[in-house]
Amino acid sequence: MFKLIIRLLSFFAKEVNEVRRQPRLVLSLIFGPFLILLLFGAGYQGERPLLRTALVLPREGLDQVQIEDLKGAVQTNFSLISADTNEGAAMQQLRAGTIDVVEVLPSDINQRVLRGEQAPVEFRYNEINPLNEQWIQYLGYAQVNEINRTILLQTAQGMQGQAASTKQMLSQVGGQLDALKSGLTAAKAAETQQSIRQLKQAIELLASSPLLVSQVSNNGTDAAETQQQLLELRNSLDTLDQAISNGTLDQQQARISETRDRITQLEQATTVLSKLPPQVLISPLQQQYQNIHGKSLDFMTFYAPSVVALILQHIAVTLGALSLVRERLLGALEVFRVAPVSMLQVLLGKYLGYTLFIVIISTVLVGLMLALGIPFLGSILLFVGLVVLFTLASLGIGFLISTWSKSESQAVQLSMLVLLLSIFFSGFFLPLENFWPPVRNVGYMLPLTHGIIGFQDIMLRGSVPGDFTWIMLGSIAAATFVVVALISQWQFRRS
Amino acid sequence: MEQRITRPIAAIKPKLKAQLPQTIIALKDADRSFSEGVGVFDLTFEVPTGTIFGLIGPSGCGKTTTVRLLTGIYKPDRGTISVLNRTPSKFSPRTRELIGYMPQLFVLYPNLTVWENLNFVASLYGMGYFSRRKELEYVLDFVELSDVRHRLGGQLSGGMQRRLELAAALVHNPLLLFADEPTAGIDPVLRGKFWEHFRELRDQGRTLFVTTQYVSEASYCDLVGVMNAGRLIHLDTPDGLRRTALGGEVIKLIVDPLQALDAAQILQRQNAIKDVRRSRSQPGLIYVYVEHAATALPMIFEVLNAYPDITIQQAQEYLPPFDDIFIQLMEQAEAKENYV
Repeated sequence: MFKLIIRLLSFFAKEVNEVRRQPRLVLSLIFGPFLILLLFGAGYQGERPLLRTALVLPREGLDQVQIEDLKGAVQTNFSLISADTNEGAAMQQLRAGTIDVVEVLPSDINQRVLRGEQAPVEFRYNEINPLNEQWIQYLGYAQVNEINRTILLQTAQGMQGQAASTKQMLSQVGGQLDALKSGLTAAKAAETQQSIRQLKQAIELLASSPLLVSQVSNNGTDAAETQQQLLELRNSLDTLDQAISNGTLDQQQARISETRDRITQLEQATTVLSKLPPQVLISPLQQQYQNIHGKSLDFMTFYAPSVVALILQHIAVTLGALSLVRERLLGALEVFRVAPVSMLQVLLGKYLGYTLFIVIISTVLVGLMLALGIPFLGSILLFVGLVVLFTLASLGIGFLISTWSKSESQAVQLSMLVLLLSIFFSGFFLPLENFWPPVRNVGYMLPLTHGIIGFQDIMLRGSVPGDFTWIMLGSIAAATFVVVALISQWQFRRS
Repeated sequence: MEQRITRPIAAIKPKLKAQLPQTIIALKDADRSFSEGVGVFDLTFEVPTGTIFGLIGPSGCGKTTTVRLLTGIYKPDRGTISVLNRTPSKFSPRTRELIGYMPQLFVLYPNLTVWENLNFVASLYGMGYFSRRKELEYVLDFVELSDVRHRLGGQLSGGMQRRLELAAALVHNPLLLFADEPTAGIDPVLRGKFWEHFRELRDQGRTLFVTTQYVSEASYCDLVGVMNAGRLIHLDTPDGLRRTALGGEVIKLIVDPLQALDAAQILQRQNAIKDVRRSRSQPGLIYVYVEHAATALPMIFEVLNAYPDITIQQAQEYLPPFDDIFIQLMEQAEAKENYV
């Protein structure tokens, strides 16, 4: 037992001595990615791309939207370079790459709307970057929404004016109906008939606008019912108009009372409508955000645990990948075969040596992160435990590469492949949920995927990583150890 | 000339020495073949305990394969192998601790110092951290590397690397040392020093199994095996091999060049003399082939003294270089093979 411990520790001492003899390697492994993170944190602002845009206006001008309002809407999301009617020049600039987007406004918005069509606003671009393309489409969508809102705002303001005048008419007709009930003079009958006809027109206009109908029906009734009531009011007004013309108004006393009641209700509704702010009318809902985590994190802080995990995995995979293949190429396995040491002991010794070494490296890294102001909210013991498990899993991948590789350069190449795979599929930059479910399994097989989640949980949330993280890291570590042990023992026997 | 070895490595424990078998290595009809007919075949020989066994042969003749069979790295396809009364492929850790192995190439770590390399090998053999220091000091002194103990392995000269390899093979004080071409690629002075080390180890009771391409080194061995094309073609002491190659012993005789022909003819007529050859490059030089030089030399003097015209200027036993003997042995083996 004593000799076994000495043998295991011999690899630890050997590996540590070998690594410390290569200070540049250690420095580049630790400080290289750290400096990259620092630069990223200092330089990346997470803002949307600044898209240089030429706005092409219709030759006959715009009637619904004021040009200046429109420019304001465009400049919210785009950097406006020009706004004129020269589409050809704008397209030439786009092809030459001096602008990023050409936005062409439709010329006949009103006619199209009346035909029941939407008028398209075209966004033309010459883009190979899918991320930029998504940005253009998203910002274009937001801009068209903004323009639509502007149009709606103007319409709503117009309708509020309409509602105000309708209210005035309602009040007037209401008074006249009261007079009708109490006895009508011939002169007043003609005046009342004129008011009734004007009110009929206003009611028809009101009934034809779904927006106004919906706003009028805010007091409890639904829009269809309100629509029906408006139509009934119009019919009543028709009947009264007819009765005044025929001189049979005496027989319509009940209808006069009924109409008076309806007018009173409608008067109340239009009062509410005309007093509402137009912004509330067109956008009744407003978004509000609350992050229960507390303070919002900047990009550098958010990426710090991921970078620590990436560095540790890369060191572990590289050391593991080079380790066995180097021993094999050096011929040391031949010496081990004659010595009283088994391949399992060689492997365990290497695992022990590298794990202790990486725990030391991780301490240095976390120290550097703390110096940068990155928070560490969780338990240190838990963090060390996760580092150990994460390192064992990463070393397993490295040793697996080592058993496969015929040369050091092949081992390095395969390690770089694992790095690439990790950057794409671990959730480091692209969320794992964005991938096709079968492809996500590639990510789940990478220690980095679970390392990132675990380190974020401990460092940024101060919580314990979920069972899935521990189970997956443990499974990767155990599975790779078994496979590496079997392959390396087989190779050891036939070396 | 470098300084002499300063002190020997630790002696073998007498109790352990007493337990050793008389024959430490024994092979019988051992075969190990690889693709295209390469390998070693029908290896049958024994190595007595406490001797230096030299395995000599050209490059690729199977020396390293034989060492790997004996150390348990390879399993034989056929036949039996016994080392320290154990089958090498089934060596227990305890048996392995009795064996030292110096591979053909430098396999220690270039980024570790001399001391760290030795320390690593010592810990592989389970030597305690404190107890090993003394052994390391001894072995470094033995191979004269004490002064460069802090130098990195990669910064050592070729000769120093080989000495470090030897130190690594000896650090755990083994009873049996396998050294695969320990003197390959190093200068003659250092080669001589290596053989001094080996003889010293042998004198301490250790057994050494040494392979070499340098035929002349056969003379440093107690027993020599000559290999060719995977087969052991001769196994004898250095003297025995010389006799086999030459068909006996050789006496080098120098007379007046004018009398050389007469002297050769007179000696040719003697029954105890097998053959007489005159040198073409040196007219007065005659090689006389006999069974035993020691008994033949007085007889030659007696015969030639009977002829007053012939004056012997010089007469002594001639030991031809082992390179010549090796070529002779190879030619004999080839002739025998062709005959068969």
